[in-house]
Amino acid sequence: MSIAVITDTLASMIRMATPLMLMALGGLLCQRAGVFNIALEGFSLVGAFAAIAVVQFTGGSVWAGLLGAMVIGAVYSSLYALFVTKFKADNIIASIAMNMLGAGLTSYLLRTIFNVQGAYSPDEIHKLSMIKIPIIKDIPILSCLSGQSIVTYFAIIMVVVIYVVLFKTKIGLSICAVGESEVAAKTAGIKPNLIKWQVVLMSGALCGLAGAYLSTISVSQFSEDMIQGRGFNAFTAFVFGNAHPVFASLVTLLFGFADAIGIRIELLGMNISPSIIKMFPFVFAIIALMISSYTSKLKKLGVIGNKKKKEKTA
Amino acid sequence: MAVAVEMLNISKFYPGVIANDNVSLSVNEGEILGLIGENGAGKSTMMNMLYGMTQPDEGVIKLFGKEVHIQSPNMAIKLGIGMVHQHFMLMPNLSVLQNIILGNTPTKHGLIDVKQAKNKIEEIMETYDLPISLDEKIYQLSVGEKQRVEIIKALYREAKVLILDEPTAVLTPQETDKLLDVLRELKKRGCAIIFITHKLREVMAITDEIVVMRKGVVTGSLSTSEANTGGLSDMIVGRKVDLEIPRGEYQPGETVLNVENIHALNQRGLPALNGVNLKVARGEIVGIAGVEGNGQAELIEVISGMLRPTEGKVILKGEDVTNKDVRQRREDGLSHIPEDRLGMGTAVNCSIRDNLILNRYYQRPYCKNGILDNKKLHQLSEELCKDFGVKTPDSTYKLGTLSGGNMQKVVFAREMDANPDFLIAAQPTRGVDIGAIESIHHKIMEVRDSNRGVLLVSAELDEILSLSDRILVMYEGEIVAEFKRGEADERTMGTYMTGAKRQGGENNEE
Amino acid sequence: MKNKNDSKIMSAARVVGKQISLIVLALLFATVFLAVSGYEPFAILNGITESLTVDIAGTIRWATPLILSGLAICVTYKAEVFNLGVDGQIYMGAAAATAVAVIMPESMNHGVSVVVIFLTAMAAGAAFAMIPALMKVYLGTDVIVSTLLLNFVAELFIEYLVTGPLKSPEENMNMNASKVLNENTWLPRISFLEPSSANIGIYIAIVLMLFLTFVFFRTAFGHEIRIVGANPVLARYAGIKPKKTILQVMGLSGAIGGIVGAIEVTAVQHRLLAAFNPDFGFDGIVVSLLANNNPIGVLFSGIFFGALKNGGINMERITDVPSAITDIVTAIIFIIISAKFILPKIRNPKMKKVRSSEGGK
Repeated sequence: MSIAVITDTLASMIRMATPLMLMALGGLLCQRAGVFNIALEGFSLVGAFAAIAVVQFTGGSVWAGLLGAMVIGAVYSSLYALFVTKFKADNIIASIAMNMLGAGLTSYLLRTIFNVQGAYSPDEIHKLSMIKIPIIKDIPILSCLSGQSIVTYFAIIMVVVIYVVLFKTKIGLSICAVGESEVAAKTAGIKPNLIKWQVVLMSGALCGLAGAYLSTISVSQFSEDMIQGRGFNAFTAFVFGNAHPVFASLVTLLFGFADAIGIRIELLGMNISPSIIKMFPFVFAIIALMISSYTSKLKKLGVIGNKKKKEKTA
Repeated sequence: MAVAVEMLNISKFYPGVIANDNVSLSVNEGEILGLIGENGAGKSTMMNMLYGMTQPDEGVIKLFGKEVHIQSPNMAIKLGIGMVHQHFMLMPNLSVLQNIILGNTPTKHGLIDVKQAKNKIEEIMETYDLPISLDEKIYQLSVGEKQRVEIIKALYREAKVLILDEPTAVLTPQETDKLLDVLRELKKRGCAIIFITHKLREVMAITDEIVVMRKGVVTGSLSTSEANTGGLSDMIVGRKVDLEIPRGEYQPGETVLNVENIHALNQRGLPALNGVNLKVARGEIVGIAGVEGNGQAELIEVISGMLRPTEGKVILKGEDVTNKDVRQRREDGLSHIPEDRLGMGTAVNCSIRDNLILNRYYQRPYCKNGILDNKKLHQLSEELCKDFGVKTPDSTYKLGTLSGGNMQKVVFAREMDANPDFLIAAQPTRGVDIGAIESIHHKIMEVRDSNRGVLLVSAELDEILSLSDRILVMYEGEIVAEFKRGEADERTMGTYMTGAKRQGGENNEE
Repeated sequence: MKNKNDSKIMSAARVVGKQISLIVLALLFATVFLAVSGYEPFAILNGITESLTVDIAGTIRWATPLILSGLAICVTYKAEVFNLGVDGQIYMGAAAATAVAVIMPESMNHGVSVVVIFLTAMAAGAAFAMIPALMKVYLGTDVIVSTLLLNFVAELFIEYLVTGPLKSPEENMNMNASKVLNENTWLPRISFLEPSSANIGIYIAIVLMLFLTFVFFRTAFGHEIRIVGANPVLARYAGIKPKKTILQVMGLSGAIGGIVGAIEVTAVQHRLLAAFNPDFGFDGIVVSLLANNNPIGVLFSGIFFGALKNGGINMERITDVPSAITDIVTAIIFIIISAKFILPKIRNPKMKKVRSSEGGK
């Protein structure tokens, strides 16, 4: 394989990983605060739709679309936040309901607002230009980092920001405390529900942006099945990445790589069914899931990772 | 000295229950108030109101003379109230430092100022002689160390009023002495302390004033100098209690359980049992004393068949059952009253019947070819409820509708119904009131007197001392001492429980 | 005795009343929603009414897979295993059914071939459900995520089959599907409900419902499922093996999922279509939860959702109201169920006295 092909594949990996990264970041914030959030799929779908709608109504502004998707994603997720805090809803069931509601609402609004079924492209869309980073763009292989969209760079910055917030700030400590033990956090004067609201809204905004990336940057249309299980892959990514922003993002790159390889195979015209190729990221995710549960089981059994052997029986 | 806390005419109602009825108490600066009473007497509810976890329906709370409405723990903390809960409020996977600064975090440029926090905590540790490593994770600490973290946490927030809810329940006598020293030091520095306990010896040793509660009301309020233990226990129970359980003559028969050189790992994969040997004969109660977490739970799991040992043998009635599963051992005559009644012993969302029939549902005549005879099962469970005095109109009610004592009766009924030759009783009286304790102790004694074997595991030394024929002390997965009935007192056992001493050579040879 | 039965009927009535008020609430939402977006507000109510009267055949067609999916769900949820993979099991059942049906000789006896097809589909569904079950038992993997991911694998596998090995040989077909199956492999439709595709699958659903009711309430296995679901530690302590129970319920659930797939192929479509399954598995979760995971309740709740679905489809045909409104209604019911405030634990007021000794806790 030539260097150009490798660079190309890596660039495509980063493009594929961007929405997963955003979703995973949102999901892991929730996870840290003890909110089980598999509604990433639904949040993103709403975001993808919102972005296209805003683009249409602002005469083609993708910027407005991205921003609108974040806002509407957060607004949509507030319903989930309301149910998990105020009504003490079962997180799993409420999540699935949010996914289902997202699918129903977008399909309904597609008919109602745009009077089409299945998919819609806005009349006019001013695509964002990709950002070329000087110097890096001329380094072989590393140049895959250049020429990405603003959202990709935003996602990478968010990895760092969320890392710092989680592990170096007061609010991060509060988030982790709520996830560890709500009662105990309460006795320390923290309001668990307030924390949960914050992380869920944050995940809504991040997923909204992820959806907008798919509908306004990857392609220029909204279609009903556009998230295609990415939300669940993102979920697996942060589970595998131990809810750590850096590790989780690296896992999303792995999934992105599976996608990119699939595209490569298709381009090369190898005789593999596209359906099988589309399976790659899911199979990857299942393997990742198996590995992560196996290692955590070993860890529990003390076979690996017990750095401090001195642990007292308590 | 100024009054620190006044709680005046406090009442608190829960649906169908009066938790506190017109209760008043007060404590001065530099004074220790002992708040005593049975489980469910309403002590914790009073303290939860003072700490803002819940609000009184009637009555007034005053702090340093000013009326306050404490809406949340946050507010209580700001007002200078600190509480050390009975169940520690700590995050197992966070570090000691993170736990202490949680909710009161110093920051610099928006980031946590670790240095400043450390300085302040180290000062506290030095003043009160409470050493601990700040970077360890909570789950790596012993129970005593966890409690130390809780106290440091309160002091870090500059608590002027400190509430301790049964702080000594989990400590060895030596650790208790250490805690009492810390409390004296705090008192000297003007802290007002409310000390909840049911151990009268400690109350007499350290408090200045005593308030006794029973069934939600104050039954006595007096100075410690005027009090004596006999009078206090009558006030606690409301009647004379007979703490001496009548017992038959000690005539150990054949060995019913023989545990040989057991090694086992705990859930985290670390060695929990390191070569335990013990024997239980028919007609005797063998008590296992020790600080919780020294392998007792694993020992019980190994004997009952829930945990496979890595080495060693379990012999039940002369037959090697090491490789048999739980059900086979139960059929061989083993019964088990588990320590964690809610977590292991019952299913609260199932009916009382479902809980009672667990040993029987798959056996004839209750079940033929996998099909249940619901009529016979119902009959069985109704009979058991009657025989064991479970207070319920009908055994189809959910188990969760019962009180702790009644749930324990359900567990007893189920386990005794199997007519066991050998009974494991782990913390059999935890969380049940004194009246029920008496009847449970009688039941255990009945098992012994009907020529069957009992292994009693308890963190309550009183219970071990009053029931056991032989006492074994466990420390770090080993049996470090053995006493005959009447040979030991709490203090000597305490030195073995903390590992300060051990009986020489091989342990527990008869 | 009489008194006790009365109070039992009362509490059952209270549960049913609550669920019905929940449905009414969701429909009310939808009606307002329709009005606000400028459609005929009563379209959805009309649709359901019609489905339960004149077009009962259509309702049965949709209720059959929904009831079966609900049963597949309630088996596992009783044991607190959150199987979200019924859709995948349906796909695999359909794939196996088609694969067998395609090679089944035309001369084969009708009854025999249908039975063989259904048994194969059940085996395939159960086998597919074993993947997450074994992962759970041996690795401790969360069933929720593994089943979600496997759903996509199964869906793509079907897509692969109908564009590859099982692709219809017909020329100029612009749909991803297998060839039409031989008539001797068809599961019969109900003749008096023709031309609807309502089929005798509904009888299978009813028989299964009765079977599961018996299993849950009258067998030792049912008791074990209940205990494992209520408290797995208690189960272990009492000598029940929770791992074995998990494998059993997942296998049973998968087999039922397989039946759904086989019915859709052999009775409704008569061929394997790429996206034949409109997420019956997820709808099954609502069906089961609305019925409190009770098989008898699942029958009624399945009929309601069947009517809703059928009503939505009919409505879209006659009016311009998008059928997606039915998904919204389903989602609303779903999210309300998730909240505990609608279903507080039903407790007998008489029992409160007994509890009073715990007042201070």
